[in-house]
Amino acid sequence: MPTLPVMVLAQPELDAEEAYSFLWDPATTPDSGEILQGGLDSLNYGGGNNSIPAHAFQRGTFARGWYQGFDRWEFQYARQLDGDGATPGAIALSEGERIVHAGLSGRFFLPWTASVLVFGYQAFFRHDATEWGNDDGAHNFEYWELQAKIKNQVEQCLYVKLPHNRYSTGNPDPGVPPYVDPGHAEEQQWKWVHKQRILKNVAAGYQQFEVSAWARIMAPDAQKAKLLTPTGGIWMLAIR
Amino acid sequence: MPVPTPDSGTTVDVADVVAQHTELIGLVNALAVGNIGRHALGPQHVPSAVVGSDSICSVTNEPLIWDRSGGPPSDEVVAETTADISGGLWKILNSYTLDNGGAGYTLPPCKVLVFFNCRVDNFEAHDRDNQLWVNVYHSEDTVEVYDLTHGGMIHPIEQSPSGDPVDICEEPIAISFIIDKTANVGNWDLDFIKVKAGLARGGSNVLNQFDADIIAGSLTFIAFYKDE
Repeated sequence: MPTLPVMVLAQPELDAEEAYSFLWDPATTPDSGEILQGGLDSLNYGGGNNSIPAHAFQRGTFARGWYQGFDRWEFQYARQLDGDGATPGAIALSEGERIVHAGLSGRFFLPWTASVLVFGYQAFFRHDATEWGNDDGAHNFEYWELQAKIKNQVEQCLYVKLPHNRYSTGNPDPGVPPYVDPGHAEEQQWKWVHKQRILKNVAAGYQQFEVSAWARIMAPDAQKAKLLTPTGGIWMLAIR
Repeated sequence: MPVPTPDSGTTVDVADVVAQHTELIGLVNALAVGNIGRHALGPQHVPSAVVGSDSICSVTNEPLIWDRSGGPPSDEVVAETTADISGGLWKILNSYTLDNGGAGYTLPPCKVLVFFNCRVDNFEAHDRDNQLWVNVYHSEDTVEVYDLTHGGMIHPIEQSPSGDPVDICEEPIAISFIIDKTANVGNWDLDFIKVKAGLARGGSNVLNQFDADIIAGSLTFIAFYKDE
């Protein structure tokens, strides 16, 4: 029912409520003046599909986007972690032990329900992580890992591991000398990461996105190993 | 037209109200595109701009093994050609299949944005000659479509050159592209979007076997109304 019907008033005297029902009476199929609030279709304006000029629409009618990028260096240090990284093989992954990556976290206000919310991040990571040779014994591998959350829910498929990128023939246990400095990280192992996904039928309100880091770093490195992010950005794009 | 003001001691005439309403709805019902004002329409007036979307998030391991110990290598990439992707030994990564439970997606003329990302783990570097190739392909109206630009390759480099002679590498992959179906006159079927991957060796093939794992990732598409 795209067009408005003629007003038919049953009462001989004017009844304001009855008249008003033709002006404003929200219904599944609009048949009152409310049609101007979203019930119009191509039969009303007679233009056919896809013919309304773009300037007739308010900005942000079909999509709202938000981007936060940075080009200043951001650091996270293994010393910020609460887990027992000093023990080879010990991995603690509880939420409370993670470091929030401030540059890759933020929130965006969505004023309407979106069919699709595209979200993601990209960044260049320069991290410190050692492969310990243990004097030709079983090797120990250090790494950093990144976790992304949207609306406080972990997206497991966006998990990122930043693996070891330097080598020491020595042992990570300070009780077993000698200590052998692993030297500098191999630059070719610094990662450029791009991750992106969608949520469907997202309700209006604040949309929180957060990337956090955790590291398995052993004793000799625990005091100085870091995750450096020289550049990166996060985005959200809501589509009606 | 305004409703005539009633004289003192009389009431508004019902017929005048009906006449005013009839005139008003005549304007509304005959509203032409040219009469729609600048910035007149907002999100409360329009339907969704998206005609279809789907996404899959997987943490299932998809192992790839290049093994020539028993004959031609398995999961092998022979050439950078669409023929090799479609008819060769590339492995379909079943965890990354968008097909609406087998029914596919019937879509109007539209543009489809596709993006895929994954994590490759346990990739053996050996002598830096190993390669892992990924390609995202789809089927429209029962015809499979392969495009070399919808793919990518990673090439592992030892992470600790003086360390483990095999070495195990880790790399992320991200691919995105658009399927443009705005030239279609009517609806069309996006039967599925899938991902294939394979391994290759450059240089001398002294190895008998190496492997890699694709262990976490997502595949997504969003279809937008045709723009004109």
